[in-house]
Amino acid sequence: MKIERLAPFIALTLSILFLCSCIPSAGEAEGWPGVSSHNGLLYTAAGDGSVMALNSSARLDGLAFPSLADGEWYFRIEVPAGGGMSCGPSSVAAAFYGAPVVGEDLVYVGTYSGDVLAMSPSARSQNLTFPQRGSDEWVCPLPGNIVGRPVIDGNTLYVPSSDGRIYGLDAIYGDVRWKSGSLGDKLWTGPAIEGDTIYVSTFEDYVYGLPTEGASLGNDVEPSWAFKGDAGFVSSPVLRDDMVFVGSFDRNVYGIRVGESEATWKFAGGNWFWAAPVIDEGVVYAGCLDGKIYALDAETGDELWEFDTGSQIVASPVLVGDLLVVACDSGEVYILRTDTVVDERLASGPVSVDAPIRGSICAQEGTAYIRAQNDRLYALDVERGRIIWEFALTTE
Amino acid sequence: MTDPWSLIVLNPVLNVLIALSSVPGGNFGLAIIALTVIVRLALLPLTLKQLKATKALQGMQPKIQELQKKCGKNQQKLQQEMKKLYAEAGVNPLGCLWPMLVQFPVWIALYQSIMRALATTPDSLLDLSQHLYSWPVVTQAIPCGSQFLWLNLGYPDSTLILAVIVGGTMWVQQKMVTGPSLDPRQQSMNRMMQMMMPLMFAVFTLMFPSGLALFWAVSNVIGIVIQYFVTGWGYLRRKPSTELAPVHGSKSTTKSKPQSRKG
Repeated sequence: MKIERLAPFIALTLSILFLCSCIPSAGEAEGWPGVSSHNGLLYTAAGDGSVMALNSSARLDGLAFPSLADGEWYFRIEVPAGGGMSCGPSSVAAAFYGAPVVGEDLVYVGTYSGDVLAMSPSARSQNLTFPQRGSDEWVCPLPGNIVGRPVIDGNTLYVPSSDGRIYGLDAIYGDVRWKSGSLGDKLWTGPAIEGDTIYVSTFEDYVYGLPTEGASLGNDVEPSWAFKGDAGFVSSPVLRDDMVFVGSFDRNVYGIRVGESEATWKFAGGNWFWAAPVIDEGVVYAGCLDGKIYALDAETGDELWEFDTGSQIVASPVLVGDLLVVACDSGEVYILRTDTVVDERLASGPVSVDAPIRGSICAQEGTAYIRAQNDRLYALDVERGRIIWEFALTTE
Repeated sequence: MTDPWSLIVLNPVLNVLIALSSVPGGNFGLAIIALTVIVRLALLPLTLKQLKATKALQGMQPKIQELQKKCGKNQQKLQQEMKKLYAEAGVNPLGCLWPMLVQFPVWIALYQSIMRALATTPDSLLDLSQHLYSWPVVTQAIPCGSQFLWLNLGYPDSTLILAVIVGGTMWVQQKMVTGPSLDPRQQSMNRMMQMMMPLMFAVFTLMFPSGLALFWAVSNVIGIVIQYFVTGWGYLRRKPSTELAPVHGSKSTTKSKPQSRKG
C-alpha cells in the first residue's frame, strides 16, 4: 500500500506548496523613496532604511560618503518588525514611499510603519543619538502606514496616514495641531496645498478640499468641498489655476474645477494613472501604467500627443526647460521634447539604469536625479542625455 | 508580456473575484465566500470522484487485511494479490489522488487571487494593475474594501476566533475522511496528520491575512457538507481502534492491544 502510505506526505507537501504559492504575492513593503533637493543638497533614502543628504559635487568628484565638509550625512532608521507570528528579526529597515521633505532647519520623513521623524542635519552629521531634543528633533508615531508624501506649509507638516486621516503636525515640536476627519479606509496619496486649502484624493472615489485654518484643538476638520468620481483615485492631486488634476482607478485622468461637483473633463488611458500629473503652460503631462505619457490640454482634456515607453510609468515625469524626463518601470529614462508640433518627440535616450524607477525624480540646474530600485542614485544630464555620475546608496 | 499562468488561470479568477465584490450589497469578504462556493461547486464532480475512490479503497480494507495475513512477509506476493484485488473490484488506488491534483491549480489561483486583490502594500497594489481587465465592474471595485465582520481581511486576525474556526473545521473534515488503517504505523501517522494539519493551519491563520483564513474556513465547511452527503459523519462518529485489528507480523513497535473487529 505504497500509495496509502505516501498520501499523507503528498498531502502535506502539496499543502506547504499551496501556502508557499501565496507568499510572493503577499508582498513586503519594499518602498520607493524619491529624491528631493534643498539648498544644493539632494535628499533621498535607501532600501536599508537610511535617509541621506548628498552633495552632487562631492558625488561627481567621487569623494568618500558622507563628505561632512560638503554637508552630507545619513541616518539609518529601524522599525519594529511587522505583526503576526514571525520568527524573523525584531526590527527591520524602515521603508519609504516618498522623498524626504525639507523645512527651514529640519528634514522630515514618514515611514511605512507610521512614524514621522524630524531630523536635524547638524545632529545627524555628528551621528548623535536620535532624537536630539536640543536640536529640535522629534518623532511622532501615527496610527496608520505613511505612503503619500507629506507636505509642509508654514509651520505645519501635513501627513496622510493609512488610517484615513491627514495629520497636521507642528513642524518644530511634532505635536498634532490639526487633524482631518476620517476621509476613507486608507489614504495612500499625498495632499496638495493651495492657499488655505489642503486637497486630497481618496481610494473611496472622493477628492476633498479641507480648510487649513480655523481648526480648534481636539476637533476633526471636515471637508469644505467634496467631489465624487466614478471610481477611487490612485494618484495624488495636482493643482493649477483652480483646477485639480488627478488620476483614477477607472483609467481616467480627471480635470476638476475646485468647488464643482462635475468633472470639467476626463481622459481615458489604457490603465491607471498612478503618477501625479505635471502641469506646465496649459499642458497636463500624465504618465500611465499602460506605458504611455499623454500630453493633454489642461482646459479641455484634449490629447495633444502621446509617447509610448513600453513599460508602466509609476514615477511622475519632471520638466527641465522644454524637455520632459520620463522614467519607467523597465529602468529606461526618456527625454522628450514638449513642443506640440515636433515630428521627432524623442530628444535623447532612452538611458537605461537596469532597475525599475518608481520614486519621484528631482530636477536641479539641468540635471535630473533618479533613485532606482537597485538602490543607486543617478545624475542625468538632461540636455546631453547621459548619466554623469551614479552612487550606490547601500554598500550591500 | 503576461505569463501563461496569469493569462489562463490567475487573471480570470482574480477579475471574477473583484467583480463579485462590487455586486450591490457585496463586499470583498462576501466575494471570497461566493467564489469559494462557486469553485467548490464547479469542482464537485472531481471531489465526488475523489471521495468515492477513497471510500472504495477503505471498503476494501478487510479483504486487504486477509491478504496481508495470508501472504505474511512475502511482499512481492502481497503486491500481486492486491493488484489482482484492485482489478477485480475495479478500483484504482490512484483514483483518489489525481482529482486532488487536478483541483490544485484552481486552488492556487484562488489563493493567489485573494492575496493579490487584497493589495496590502503599495507594491502589491501596483502589481495588481497588471492583472486587471478593463471591465467597468472591476475598475470601480478597486481597491477592494478590507473590512468584513470583525476582520480586516488584509491583516491576520488578532483574535483567536478565526484560528479556532479554521483549525476546528479542518479537524472535523479530516476526522470524517480519515479511516482506520490496518498498519499501526500508518494508523499513528494518520493520527498525527489529523492533529498536525489543523494545528498548522490554525497557526497560519495567525500569520496570514484573514482573507485567506476566511477562504480556508469556508472551504473546510463546504468540504464537510460534501463529505456528509457522501459518507454521512463518516469516521467522526466511529472509533477507528475498535474497527480493525492490527496486522500480525508487523514490524511496528506500537503497543496497541489487538482488538477484534465489531460489526
